[in-house]
Amino acid sequence: MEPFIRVKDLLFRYEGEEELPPALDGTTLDIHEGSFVAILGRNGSGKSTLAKHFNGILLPQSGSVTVCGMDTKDESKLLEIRRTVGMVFQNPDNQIVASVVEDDVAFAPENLGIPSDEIRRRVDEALKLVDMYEYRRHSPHLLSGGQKQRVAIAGVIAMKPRCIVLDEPTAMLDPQGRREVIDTVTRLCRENGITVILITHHMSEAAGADRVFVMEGGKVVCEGEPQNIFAGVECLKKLGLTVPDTTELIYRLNASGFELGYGALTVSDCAKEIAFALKNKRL
Amino acid sequence: MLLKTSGFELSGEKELKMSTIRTEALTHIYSTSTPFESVAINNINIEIDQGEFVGLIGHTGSGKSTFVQHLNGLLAPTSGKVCFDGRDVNSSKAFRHDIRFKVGLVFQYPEYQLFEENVYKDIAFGPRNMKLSTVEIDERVREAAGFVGVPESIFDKSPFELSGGQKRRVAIAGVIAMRPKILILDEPTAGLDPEGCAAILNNICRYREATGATIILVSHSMEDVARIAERLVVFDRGTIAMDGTPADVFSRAEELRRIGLDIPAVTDIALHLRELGVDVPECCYCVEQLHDAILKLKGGAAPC
Repeated sequence: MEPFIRVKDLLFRYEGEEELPPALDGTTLDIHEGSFVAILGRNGSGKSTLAKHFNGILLPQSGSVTVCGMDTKDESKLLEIRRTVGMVFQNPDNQIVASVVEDDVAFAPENLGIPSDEIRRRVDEALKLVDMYEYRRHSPHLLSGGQKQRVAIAGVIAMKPRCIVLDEPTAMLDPQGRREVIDTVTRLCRENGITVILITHHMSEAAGADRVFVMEGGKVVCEGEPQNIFAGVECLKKLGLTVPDTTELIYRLNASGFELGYGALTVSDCAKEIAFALKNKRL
Repeated sequence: MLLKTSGFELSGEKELKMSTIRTEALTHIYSTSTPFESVAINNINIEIDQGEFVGLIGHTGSGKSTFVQHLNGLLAPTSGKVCFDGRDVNSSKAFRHDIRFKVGLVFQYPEYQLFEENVYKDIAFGPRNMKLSTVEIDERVREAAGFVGVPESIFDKSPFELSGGQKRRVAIAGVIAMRPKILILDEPTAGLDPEGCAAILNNICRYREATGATIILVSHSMEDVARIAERLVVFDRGTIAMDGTPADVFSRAEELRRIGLDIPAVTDIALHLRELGVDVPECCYCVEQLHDAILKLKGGAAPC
């Protein structure tokens, strides 16, 4: 089966950076429809540059990006690609354009020339999906960061995309805002089948993904299920990353003589794993 | 080290030990007497002593940023007052001007405020405003760059050519170059990768160790403040909801969650372990502590 998004030997260098190594240097990866994918990597590893290739904001200088079989370099397909893949960025304040929540969500479908009763339906549906329907007549700038970011996600949902790319959507949010955003995108993926590509520095947010890609120097250096990726604690540290605190604790305990599995990424699984090991010891 | 001997030349100061920052019924209302009137902070009474490392946490809009902007006179209170070494910050224009150099404030995303043509000039901006001599400015620029790990080899570069992490460091160096007695940082690690976060937090700790400065760290990361702050102040809807050691504050998980915050993952693991009948202390908040506690239990249960 042809993957939903296929990135092949992608090369990209920003203008004026001719003497530097390219931002993307032979990036290759496949993303399957309906999956929840996390992309990790230190600052400057090429994550955001890659994200902008998923819907043709940037175009490959060599190599290719295909979305549902459509090449992003094919200009006649660009509008269709942008409807298929929506983007959400880090700073919610830069993405909100209207002075009423529902107008903001309606902005993109209006630009697509969709009939107004259909827009009404889509806006209501999108706001319900992100749990912001009761705020539809509010002014966006009075909302919290997490609420604003959910409005931005609703704005993307209203275009009925099959995929949402989120570039560090929680970097500016407080813990509750972070939870709201991650819960929302997880639900969109699991219940509505929308492919989610999440770029993040918060390792715990990647723990819930189906697949994790780690980037370094413009390349994908490892990929796999979160448990397997995080089990490579030393390798990740070399790449300037950390592991979730659950994995870190297990890693240190194992270094001190425990034999715990690395599969336990959630707090409750981790506690169970440790409690089980301690009880066995007592017998 | 150079900084240890250089000291801070504070005017009219008798006892260094006295409370450095004190607020009395500090209240700030935005857009007073308009329909948009909103109380940002309400009746804040707090004392922060010289040399303390305070983590300031609270949900978005809880008043943290409004509060810290009062500490160096950027905002004037609607009522109540802020005292620096016993003297009202807003007592005179001259003192308020002075305070700006003594209380250094690093805003969120400070790299957006870089503007000079090269790194050196950007770091030198603060000391130059203090009307220091060229020699002293030079000394301070190099010293500040050293603290945050900005190599002298990039002094001639345009700040706009640097990576995000480097820009952030240059911006912080620009504040440190004023040798503030109190260094306030509003989310200095937002958007940085784990390595970049750790480096910035280390730099802050080093600055404090070398100078004895007070640090006030505003953060959304419970893990960060748990790791390095000695005292946590929790804001909720414009008031101080909690004030204590990380162990005190993080033992109140339910309350923290109710006000939009959280406990560090490690504290959460410890709570789960206790529910499962494993007797680890409640107040574990960093990986090392919990690791040691678990190891002790393992050792204690060994005879069989």
